[in-house]
Amino acid sequence: MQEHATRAEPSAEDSGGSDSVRRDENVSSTSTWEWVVAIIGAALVVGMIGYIAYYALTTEAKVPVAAVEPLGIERTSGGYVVLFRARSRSSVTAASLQIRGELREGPQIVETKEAMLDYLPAFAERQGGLIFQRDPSRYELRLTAESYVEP
Amino acid sequence: MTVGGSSSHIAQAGHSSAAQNRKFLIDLARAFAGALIFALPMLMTMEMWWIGFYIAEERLIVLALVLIPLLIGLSYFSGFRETTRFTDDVVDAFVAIAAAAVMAALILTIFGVIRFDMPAREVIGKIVLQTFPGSIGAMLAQDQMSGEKRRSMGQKDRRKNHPSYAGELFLMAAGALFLGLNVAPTEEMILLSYRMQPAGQIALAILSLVLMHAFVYAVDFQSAPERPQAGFWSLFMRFTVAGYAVVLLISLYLLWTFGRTDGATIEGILSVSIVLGFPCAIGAAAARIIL
Repeated sequence: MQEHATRAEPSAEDSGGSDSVRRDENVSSTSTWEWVVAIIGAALVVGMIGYIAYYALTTEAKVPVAAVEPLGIERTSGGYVVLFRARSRSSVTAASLQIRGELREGPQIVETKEAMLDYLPAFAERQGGLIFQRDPSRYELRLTAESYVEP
Repeated sequence: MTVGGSSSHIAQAGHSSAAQNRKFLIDLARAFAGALIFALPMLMTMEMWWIGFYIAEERLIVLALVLIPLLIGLSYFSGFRETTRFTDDVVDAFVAIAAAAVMAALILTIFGVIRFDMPAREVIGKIVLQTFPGSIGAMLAQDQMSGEKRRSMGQKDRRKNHPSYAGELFLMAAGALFLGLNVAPTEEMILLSYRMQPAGQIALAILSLVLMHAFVYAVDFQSAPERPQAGFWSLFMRFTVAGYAVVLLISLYLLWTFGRTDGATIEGILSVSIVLGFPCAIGAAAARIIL
């Protein structure tokens, strides 16, 4: 590339050619696109650190808060699958979150099933299913989060 | 620069910047490949996903901040191109971060580890954690993957063929960080420290020292075979023992980052540091040869 350029203007070969080549090497070998990508990288770092810092400063929860809600009932050959969604409303992550589903008839608990979520991250949601043998639509369905441990 | 030469200089600058851009795109592709290769074991480790969302925010920020000088230093000693100025090292560091972050986001999305309906904190935590090993990989990609022979001596003047003592310790710390990061998040570190008897832990510490010292001799021989070798105790104290101290500090830092020191006793922290120190020691010792 360099040679080709100097050949185009032979008169400048001595003065401009070798001088500018040396200058390029001494000054910088950073191309325009490299600057662009580097600025993207810097923006990512600033953005990610900035968001995490903002998050840390604006949240101050001490315990996880999990809301469990049913999403639907699917009848299968193995029983009635109650799909549920656990949603975190806290900035604290819960580990080994125990989900309990009860079918009730008045004060009487007819059937109980449990599921465990490995993790429910802060403000995240996770889904699962409880498999009942009785038809949940004929009873009162109660879903609760029972226990957790800190990660 | 003479007046007559200026027009040709402009023409040349156009040509050489096109060549630079082309070379940069090749380097960028290598950076992506390096990021993928180095981060792949961690991309496929579930503890890394989990730690991404439950890690304490300040520790995640410290990790991201530590990464920047680490990459600048690596660019200075190794890196994916010849750098002539400090700014070039800084630029390369951020290019490596950009490549690693994009790679991590892409792969984790394909794996379904990050999804669009997840909270930003969870997604960012996972990406930051993977960007750390990935950007080190991106930075080292050129050296390991370019297939070029090590550059001729004339081109290496700025690059430190014989780094200063502080430089040696820096390379050891970088190697320890990198290899340690591969295993530090896993449950097995804690489990091993529970299972090992004190005698076994002492034996592991001694083995780490012996192996590090073997590497020290290898480097000493490789870099200056013709020079009279430094005395055993001099090498042992300056590189092996000092290096192992660096390794233990890096182990401690990684364990703290991943929350493994919380609520642990001194004995517990020490024994898991020795366990994690083993891979860190190998990484530290190997870094002086590889980089």
